[in-house]
Amino acid sequence: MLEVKVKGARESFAYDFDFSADPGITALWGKSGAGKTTLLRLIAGLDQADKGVVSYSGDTWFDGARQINVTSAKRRIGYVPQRSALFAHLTVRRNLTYSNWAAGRKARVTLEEVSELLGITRLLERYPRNLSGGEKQRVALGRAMMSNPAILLLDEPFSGLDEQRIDEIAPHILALNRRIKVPILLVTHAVRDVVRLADSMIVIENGMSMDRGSLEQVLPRAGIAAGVDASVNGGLLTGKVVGYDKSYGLNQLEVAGQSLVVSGASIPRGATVRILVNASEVLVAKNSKIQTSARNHLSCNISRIVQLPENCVQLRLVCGDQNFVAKITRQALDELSLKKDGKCVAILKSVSLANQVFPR
Amino acid sequence: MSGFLSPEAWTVAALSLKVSMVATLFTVPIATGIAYFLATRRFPGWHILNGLCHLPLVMPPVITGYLLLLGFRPDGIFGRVFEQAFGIGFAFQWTGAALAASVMAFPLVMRPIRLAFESQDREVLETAKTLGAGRLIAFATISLPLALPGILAGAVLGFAKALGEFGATITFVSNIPGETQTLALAVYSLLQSPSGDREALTLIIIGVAISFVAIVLSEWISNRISMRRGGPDA
Repeated sequence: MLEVKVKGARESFAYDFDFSADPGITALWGKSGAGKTTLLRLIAGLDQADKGVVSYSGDTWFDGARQINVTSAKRRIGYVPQRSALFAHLTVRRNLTYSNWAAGRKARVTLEEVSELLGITRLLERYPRNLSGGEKQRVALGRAMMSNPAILLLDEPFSGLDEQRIDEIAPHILALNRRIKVPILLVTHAVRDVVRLADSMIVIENGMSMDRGSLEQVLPRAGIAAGVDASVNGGLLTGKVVGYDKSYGLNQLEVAGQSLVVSGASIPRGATVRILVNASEVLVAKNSKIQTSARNHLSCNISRIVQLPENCVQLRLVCGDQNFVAKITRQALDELSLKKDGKCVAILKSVSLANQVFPR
Repeated sequence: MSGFLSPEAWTVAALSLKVSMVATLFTVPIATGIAYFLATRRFPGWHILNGLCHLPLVMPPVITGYLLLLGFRPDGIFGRVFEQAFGIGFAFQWTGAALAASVMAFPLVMRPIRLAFESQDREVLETAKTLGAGRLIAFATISLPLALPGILAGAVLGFAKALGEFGATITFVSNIPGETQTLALAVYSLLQSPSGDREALTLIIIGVAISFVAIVLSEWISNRISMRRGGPDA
């Protein structure tokens, strides 16, 4: 377990982080300039805090009071910076094995395993200059893995990559975490990245670690707390794939005991998926008697009503053991006379969920 | 052999090559070390050290030559040290010509190397450290090889400067045929005498040929390095 409790200031930026991260993938989520990269550099030992402690399962990496500061080279961290930072004069193979031949570290995984896991086996003899952005990121990940790290630190691993490339890399990161059992700390500003990868998340704001917990808990409330427009963030639903309707191209899911269909390419039956809900694309009805083109009607309870600026309200909707958020006008709330603890039906379009489904 | 070149011309050409190559071989490692130091550290005396390194570039060569003479003649401060420690003398010997060429070439060698180190991505070096490389290993495996094109450029400039060095050499070690008379000095001497034009022309052709081969060779090597690293910049 990683424990961080550090304070300091750099130029005009002051920070005060205090959190611990469990095994699994933890997302450090916040706007740019919130101090996420600073935090990652402090953990990696590339920068030094004024005071505090950084420790990893019993090993103290930094202790301001005891004047301990273990160098980056000895912290056993796999750091993947934003721009992958590959060694341009070395082949992919030499990049991957760098910590082995340059620093004498022994990896728990073989070059073959890592290259296959990351799908870079056919790139081994190439030079970084001849790789695409996505390939570079995967090589950087592999290189970090080969250094036998106690923890992986990823700084915006998807920056500058298009959705297609991200879809290509994300499963590899999940696989690394699951098969090789390395805890991962992931810095990102994008909710989508968090939903794609993270098991738990920590909200970083103005140089401080704020809300933390599971995505299900934190995401719905973080939308407003972090000043992010709630319309892009309605929380998430978790479902299981139960079938695929080939003739219409619809994935059939089960979410909290109810059924949900989503457009898109077939996802293997039995897979668990996360669905990122866009709060302003959720329609709310009194009952499901109305006929619409929308394919999904989820029966929900209203657990909370929050006033938003500009005559909007946020409804926290509970559906079985899951909850998400809808954003509607105040007028709609009054006309439908929706009340706290009352029942309603949330209507979700299959088409608008198409790009919001992330296999786990 | 002697059909085209007189024995004197051979002597001059061989001496010039020897002086330039020795000067380059000595200057490049020292310049690389200082360039790395200047590129990666900021300390109070930074501008002073940087200024000192560039001094031979801006000072009149005669002054540089005279200062070398003061310091490195047999009873000079450095002259005595080198004589006692290594048995190397400089005054009126080819070693002095090589020293003068080294000093004059130094800023030209150091500058492109420093720029090569300065343009390196800090993130790349930091990543090497997180992968377990200490400062020395990171330098040897990352910084140095990445700076290779810059080092090569510095070496070529230095070699060219050493080959053409005139003012500091003639002031420091004079113009002694067979000992300190390099190509530039020989051409100068020949042009002073009424019958020397033809011989001078021969030496000039040799000078052009050496310079040409040097630049072509360096371009070829630099191209090889770039091709090895996956072709020219896309």
